[in-house]
Amino acid sequence: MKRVFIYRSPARALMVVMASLMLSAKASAEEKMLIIANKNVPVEAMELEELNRIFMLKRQVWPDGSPVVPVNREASSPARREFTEKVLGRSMRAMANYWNQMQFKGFMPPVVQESDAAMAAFVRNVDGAIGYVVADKAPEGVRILGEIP
Amino acid sequence: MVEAEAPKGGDAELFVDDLAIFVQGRFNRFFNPFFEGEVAGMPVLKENHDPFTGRTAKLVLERLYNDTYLKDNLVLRLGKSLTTVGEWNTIHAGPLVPNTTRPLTTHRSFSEFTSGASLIYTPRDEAWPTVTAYWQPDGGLAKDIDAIEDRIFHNIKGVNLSWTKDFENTIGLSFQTADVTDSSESQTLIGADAHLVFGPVEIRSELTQTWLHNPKAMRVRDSEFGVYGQASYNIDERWALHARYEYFKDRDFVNASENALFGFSYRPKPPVVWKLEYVTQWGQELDIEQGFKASLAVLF
Repeated sequence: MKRVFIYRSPARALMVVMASLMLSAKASAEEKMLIIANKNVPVEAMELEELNRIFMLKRQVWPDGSPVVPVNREASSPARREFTEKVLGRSMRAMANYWNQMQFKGFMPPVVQESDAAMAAFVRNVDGAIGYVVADKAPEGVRILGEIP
Repeated sequence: MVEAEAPKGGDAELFVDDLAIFVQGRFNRFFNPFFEGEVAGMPVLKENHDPFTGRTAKLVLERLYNDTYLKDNLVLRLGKSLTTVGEWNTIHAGPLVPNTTRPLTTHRSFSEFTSGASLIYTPRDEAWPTVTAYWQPDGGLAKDIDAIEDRIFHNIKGVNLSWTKDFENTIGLSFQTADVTDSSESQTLIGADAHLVFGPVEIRSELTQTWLHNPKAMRVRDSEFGVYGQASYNIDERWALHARYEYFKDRDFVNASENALFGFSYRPKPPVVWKLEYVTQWGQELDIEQGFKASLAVLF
């Protein structure tokens, strides 16, 4: 059931709004962009340079020879924008053009998942998958390889 | 790609070309197949012709190969794939190239496809080039419908070096030898290509020089040379202006062929591009017709 609170005192309403804003600021301050991977990948940590190589499709297999499956968020996602800026260092449009060219050359671009939950589920279930989520704690069933500052 | 042509002195035509389907799988380091089939030249409307007659669409096996990852940065590709001579031939799909009209230099002097084995090495350090070495021991896996008569090749061996700097700038060098099928003729080709970005300006260029050995009697000369230069000005992320000049001296014709192109493109989204261009040509007429060309290309 949805509850609706009505505050008769403007001062009290203002205090509640401010408290909510502070709580929300605290929550987002705790959220981090985590590099997540399937539990079977044969690495324990990942540097940003290596993550860049994976999403630029220059690293195709893990050290044990199994395929690397990079996973991205949808184009409209703020998380993807942040990831593209911090890890790939290119505009979203430039990356889209690049992946289109690479796909034509036979290199499969990152798979797209449209929510953090879908991203986590895909990475959990697909061998070799690697992606990222914005979360305050690690999703269950995946390996955390690092944090994107 | 939907393409419209209005050649000078010819019939205007609307047709669907390069309607391609890709199927790609990644299973393990040994089994990573790639298939591309396409419908080419499907007629829609042609001036002075009944809409239901005229050109017939062709089904084409463009590519069929498997990639094996010998190492993280070393791939063995077996099957039919695009020949790595120049950037245009390796990304020739409508949504990925700047113009509807393809330069002669990017396809007339060599086989666009190679059926055989390729080794692709991608270095970790940008200072070193991506190296592709390939060999086609026999004929092609499927007939190339665009192949020019007397230019069907076998025993194709080649290597391509491609340097990429700052993600967008590419310089390539190519070397290839090939035998012409059903003859004692063979050829050696060297090529260079560049794609350089200077802010809103993009420069593309390619050059090929081919030498024929034991040339057939019908040949006018024992060599072939082509070069084109193109400048594009990206007004913003969507709109771009293009200008190109090409010089091509064919092995079978006395006069050189020259053409120039002016046009623009509109890309509302990265995989969708509208193009309109005017091409003028003089000297020997080869594959390029003078007139307007327009296209809508979509990569799904």
